[in-house]
Amino acid sequence: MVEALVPAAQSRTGLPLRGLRRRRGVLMTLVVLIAVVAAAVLPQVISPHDPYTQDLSRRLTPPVFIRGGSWMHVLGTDALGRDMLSRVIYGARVSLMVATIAVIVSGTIGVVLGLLAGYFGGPLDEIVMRATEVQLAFPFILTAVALVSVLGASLRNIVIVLGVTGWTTYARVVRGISLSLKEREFVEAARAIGCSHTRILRRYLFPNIIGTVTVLGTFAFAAFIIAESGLSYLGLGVQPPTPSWGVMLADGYIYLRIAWWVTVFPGLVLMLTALSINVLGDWVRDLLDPRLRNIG
Amino acid sequence: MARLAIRRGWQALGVLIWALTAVFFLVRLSGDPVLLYLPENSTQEDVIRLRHAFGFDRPVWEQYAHFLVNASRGNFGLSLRFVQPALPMVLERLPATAELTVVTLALTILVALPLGVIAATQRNTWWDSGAMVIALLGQSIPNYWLGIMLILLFAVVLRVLPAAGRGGISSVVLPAVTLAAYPIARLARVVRSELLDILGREFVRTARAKGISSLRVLVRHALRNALIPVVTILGLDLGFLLGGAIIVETVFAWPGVGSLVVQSVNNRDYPVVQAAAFLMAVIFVLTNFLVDFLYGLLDPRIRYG
Repeated sequence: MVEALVPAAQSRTGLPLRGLRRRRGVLMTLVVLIAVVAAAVLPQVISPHDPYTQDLSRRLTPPVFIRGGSWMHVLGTDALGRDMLSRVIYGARVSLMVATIAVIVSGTIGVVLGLLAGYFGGPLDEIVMRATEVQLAFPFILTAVALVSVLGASLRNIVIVLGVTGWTTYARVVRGISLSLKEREFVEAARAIGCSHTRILRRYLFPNIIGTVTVLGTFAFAAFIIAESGLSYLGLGVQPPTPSWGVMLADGYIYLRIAWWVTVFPGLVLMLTALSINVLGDWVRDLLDPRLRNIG
Repeated sequence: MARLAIRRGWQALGVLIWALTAVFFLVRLSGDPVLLYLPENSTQEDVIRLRHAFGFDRPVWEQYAHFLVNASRGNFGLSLRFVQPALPMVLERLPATAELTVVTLALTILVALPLGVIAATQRNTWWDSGAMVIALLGQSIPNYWLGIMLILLFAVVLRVLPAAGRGGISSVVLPAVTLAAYPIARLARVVRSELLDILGREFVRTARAKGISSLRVLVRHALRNALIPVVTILGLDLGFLLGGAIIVETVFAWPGVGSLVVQSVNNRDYPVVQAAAFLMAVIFVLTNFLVDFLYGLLDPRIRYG
């Protein structure tokens, strides 16, 4: 009976596809995202060459649509003669993997702390909110750069750094919602029939924040992809020769004047991916939680 | 007002002390900070000597107290590479970053406000879609890549603007545009959604019914009410700008605090990184402290208790 008093949660968990037809942009971005995910999951099937094989006799070959290019290397080759298309495809794996784990880590930390802070209040709330303020005082990239430089640049460390620096938005938003939810009748009713705090948090508050957290997570995903490439660009992220879009961009920068494609293509794919995720995020937000329109 | 100032002042001070604490523990995260300060091929004797010289062999709480006292005097120690006080080195770079930040903020306001207003007043037209596509692009484009593309177009192909360095007005154009892309996108979206909300309210309808011109309704009645979220976003954007400057300054070889941070990180020059990180935190906290007071000026209904 009490469960029936939780109205919004159930309707939010299902993803109604209504309105999708009206938003052609969303369909287009879904196609892009499916391609990127496919590249990340099965790069060996899709990519025409090995991304590590060097061929100095073919270094800086232009892409096929420019004089001197060939179908052998559709997007041309980099300074070591490695196939650009294959490296761009393999780069998707690094980007998506880093962003996925970082979103899960930061989301978990932020949601748990935000829920507890909003629900219990008191000193815990004080500590969590002060911590978010302190972290907000440092620019995100600065924290990431400083932490990576101390911990050492590696794939694992970049995931850790993005994960622990990204939790503040979740914590602040979730805290706000749980603060207002705990005063609502259905929570009061749950308390009246003797539900434990754990049960209230899990069964009554958590289902009501899933929609909001999904929206925040989607935008964070795009931001993490960009942040990872930025750190890799600065030499503080994924280390060469692992193909990462950021590393490829940094490598190509020196040859910008003679071989623009080495810099342009990874960035273009990076932007397209982030753009698609952001469009998807807008759509998910309108669907799940229009209150969040100013975030992202 | 005075009471609020004092309360917020204490809060800001608290945040800064915690920020210093974070900066202090940063170099201790790796385990032994001495190893961070030394080149990779140093001997055990070097390690012990340096550990003693820096006081790393004393208890942590003593080092911490020492660090806080020194930092409050603006003393972050000597740069390991240039053997001169770290904070003045950072402050020397501040004017360049300030110039870039101010130009970027001005650009952001000049572009984002009209963009948001057009999108809101021409809702569901091509104008609206166009403005929002621009906003989406600005949000999704990695700013360092945008910088490189602008260099490619304007410095390499067209040869109208310098590719790197600082000097004269022309040199600030590309870095500022690069840095402004994201804040423009964010602000334009906020302006649009705030205006859409406000334009539907009764007082706007009343103003229209009174026969006031639509421009005046927009500027005096609607925009004014949208200013609070705009100022809030701009205050938070400052943090983003200082962070974004780290990458963008590196791309454009702009001699500011951001590029100094990257150089220092690469040189393992942690006193400079600590000083720069703290300076950025101070600027961010101070700005948002001021933004709080701006609210009262923008909206007299806000009374501080």
